[in-house]
Amino acid sequence: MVHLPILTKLQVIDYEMFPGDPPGSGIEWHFQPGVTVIAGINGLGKTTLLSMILRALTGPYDLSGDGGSGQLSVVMPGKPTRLKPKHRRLFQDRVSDGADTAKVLLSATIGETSITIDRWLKDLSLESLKVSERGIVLPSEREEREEVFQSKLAELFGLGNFVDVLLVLHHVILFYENRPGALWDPNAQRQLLRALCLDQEEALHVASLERELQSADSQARNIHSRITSTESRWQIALQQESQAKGVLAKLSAEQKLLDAELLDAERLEGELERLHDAKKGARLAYERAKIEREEADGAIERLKYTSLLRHFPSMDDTTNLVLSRIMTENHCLVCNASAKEKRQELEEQVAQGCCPICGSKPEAQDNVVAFHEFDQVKLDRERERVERAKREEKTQFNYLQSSLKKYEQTLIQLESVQQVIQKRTLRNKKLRTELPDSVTSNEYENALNSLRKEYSEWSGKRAARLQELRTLFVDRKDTITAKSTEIVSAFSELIKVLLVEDARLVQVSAEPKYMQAPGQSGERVEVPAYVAEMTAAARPSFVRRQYPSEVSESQRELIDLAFRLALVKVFSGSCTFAMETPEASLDGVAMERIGQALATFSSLGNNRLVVTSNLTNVGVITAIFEESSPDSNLDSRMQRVLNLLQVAAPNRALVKKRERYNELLVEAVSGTNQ
Amino acid sequence: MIEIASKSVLTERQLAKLKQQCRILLLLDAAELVGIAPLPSERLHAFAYLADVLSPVWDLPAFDGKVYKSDGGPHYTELQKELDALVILDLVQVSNLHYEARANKGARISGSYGLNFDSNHLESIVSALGTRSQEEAIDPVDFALHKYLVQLAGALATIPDDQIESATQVDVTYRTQAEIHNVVDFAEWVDSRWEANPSWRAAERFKAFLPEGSMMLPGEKLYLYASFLGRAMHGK
Repeated sequence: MVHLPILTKLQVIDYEMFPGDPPGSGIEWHFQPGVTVIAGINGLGKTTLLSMILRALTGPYDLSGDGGSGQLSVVMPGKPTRLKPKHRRLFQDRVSDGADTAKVLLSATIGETSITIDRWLKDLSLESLKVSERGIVLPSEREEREEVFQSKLAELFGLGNFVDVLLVLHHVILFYENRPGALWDPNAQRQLLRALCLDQEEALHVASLERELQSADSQARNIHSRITSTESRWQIALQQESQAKGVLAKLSAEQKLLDAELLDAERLEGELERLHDAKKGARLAYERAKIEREEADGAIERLKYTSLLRHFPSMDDTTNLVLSRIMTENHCLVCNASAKEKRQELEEQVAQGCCPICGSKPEAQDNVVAFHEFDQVKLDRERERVERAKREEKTQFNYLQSSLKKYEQTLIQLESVQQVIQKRTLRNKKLRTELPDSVTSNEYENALNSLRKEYSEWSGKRAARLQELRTLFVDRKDTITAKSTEIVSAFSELIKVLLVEDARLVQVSAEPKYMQAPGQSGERVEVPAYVAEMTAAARPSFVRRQYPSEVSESQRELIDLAFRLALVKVFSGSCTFAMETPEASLDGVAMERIGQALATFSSLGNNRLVVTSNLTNVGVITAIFEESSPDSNLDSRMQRVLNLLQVAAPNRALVKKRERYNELLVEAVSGTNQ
Repeated sequence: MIEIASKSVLTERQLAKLKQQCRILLLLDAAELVGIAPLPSERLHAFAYLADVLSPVWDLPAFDGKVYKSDGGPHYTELQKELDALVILDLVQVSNLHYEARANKGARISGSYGLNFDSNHLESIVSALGTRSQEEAIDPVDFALHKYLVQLAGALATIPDDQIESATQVDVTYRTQAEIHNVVDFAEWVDSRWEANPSWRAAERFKAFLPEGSMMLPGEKLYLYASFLGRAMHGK
């Protein structure tokens, strides 16, 4: 079980940016269950305060020296990276006194254990650490103190190491302004599932194997490039040594052609891999379109069938099926010829109450119940849907055919290039036998042999690690996907509130790009992953959105938010979730929705929510309060606002317009701005 | 375009329809022979899927090497279309016809399907498909395919009728090779059919339980796999 922190108290002491109210008291904030809004205009220190929460938890370390919240690389570092000096001095550089005596104290409950972290803001160093109200004895060396802290935090989080703690902080619970991806960043998503689903030892083993694999790939690539340059020097040596200039010229020309062909083969292999993925995507879309079309047709058939059955109750199933089909489709099911006229004729007959088989008028009929009309409006609506589904099916069919064609053409090209390479390699080998022997070229040749041996060893290591990873992921697939249903369902509940369009989370297999060397297309590892699928205008069913560029900025953000909150719900239950300026990329309606979703989250269990607002676009704040405490008065709502207008050192804008900003805040909190 | 003996010409599309119709007639004939006909739609689609996924046990190619995994088990739109065409051609009988509601207000036809023995043409067609003897079969592969389908239908007949369609939910390939709303690909675009088809691997593994040197016939593997599906459905 993973435990995520529930923040209980934040203290900022003696920091010039936050003198406090009264001045000199600093900030002392108790996080209550539910919502905390950090409110203030630009420049008062909202981001600085959120960064203090982050840095209290990470100290002077992160996933990268730059602060580690961007897109993740394919492997996780083995240990946390020390921040670069400029990032360690973040708080020092913002004040005139160098934050010499300033401190941040953060208290939290992680699982059943309380913890208080006390850090100097000038360099983020750890002053003291209390666990379950008792001070931990820390070594005197700074780095050793941090190691003790990091290992304690990983233990309390229930994660394998501090790197995974940093991963969860950035990609699950702290949704800061640069919005690091959780669902959209495939590496972050894979690492999160690894850290959250596997037991600690296995999670670390997978991360370590991934690093070893990447390292072996990198070594193999380096050696490969050395082989290429040595080969070139060998050629030159041969050229210098040989009197057989004609042979050398021929060999050199042949080698250039061979190099170009090898490059072409590499390019085609890469292209083939991309086309393989494309044709799989096209096949999936076509299969869905067929089902959608069949079910849309079925809806019309059902209307016709029901209608016929009501009017002619003794008609047998086969006759009914034949008539329903002809009246649904525009072609004959037997001969496939166009049957549009027959369809219209039958529909008119039935509409007039005549028998669709013999054409008898109603008064001449027996075995009928009552005249029954088709529900024309419903029918027209269903027909429209069928037309849309048919168009989609045709489009997807054409796309599939074109994907297959491109794949086949590229495959033929590759095979042809490979044949040429094979022939040319043999020819070059024969040409070299015609060259005289020499010491220097022999040395190069020996070096080449040794490099090739080394290359083969690293390639072997790479293949072994790859196989180990592949087996591990196959063996542990059930463990990784054990909570799939819960994640999908939690996401579904959240996204219903967050988005107007229908969206769902679908479990798929992903292929991490561990290796950068071209020509590794056959060496794949499949890992469980999730993608979002959404409906859209003019498309009949769900469409897969694999890349962030396939959705709008706000959809991307809201889908990621739902995924993060779903992970919290499934793996931890409760936590403090922090989101910086949720309104940043949203329109008015979306703000209400996100406000509603965040308020719902904050009301569950022991959850706490921390959001910031810059008072320029306050709809989210209003929506959160309206949803979470609809009946409470302004005073009780204001108790949940960490008001930087009061406790931060005022900038010029605040000095000039303090009254107006205070009014804006009251309007946002009370909802009187609407 | 394909030219056949009568000098008439079939398009690829017509040929695909004919092949699909022949596949259905063979499936239904096998079901009739072991007494599990008529087959409700879901059961027929499940039978078609299991026939494909287990075809390597009999050293036969799969008719369709993939299936889209949607709610409610395997379903082939082409098979359903040609099945209804066979009803209209009077070669197949349908009873209990109705429409089942699907997501997004769609609907899917459902009924119980069996061969129409009153048809004047049925006997000559199914004989030509190798259901009666190898000599009458136009294509010897059809005879082998029918023999395989009869064995498989017999194996599935050991599972209670109303549970055959649910058997696909515990079939190893259908359950593990793709998640819902994805394509389960066990023989279409895979690097290794052996790796992509764990149902086949499972059926082949049964011979490991026999004493060394003993033989296990393909039909026995099918019966053991069906028995495994029956047990898996009841969590044994």
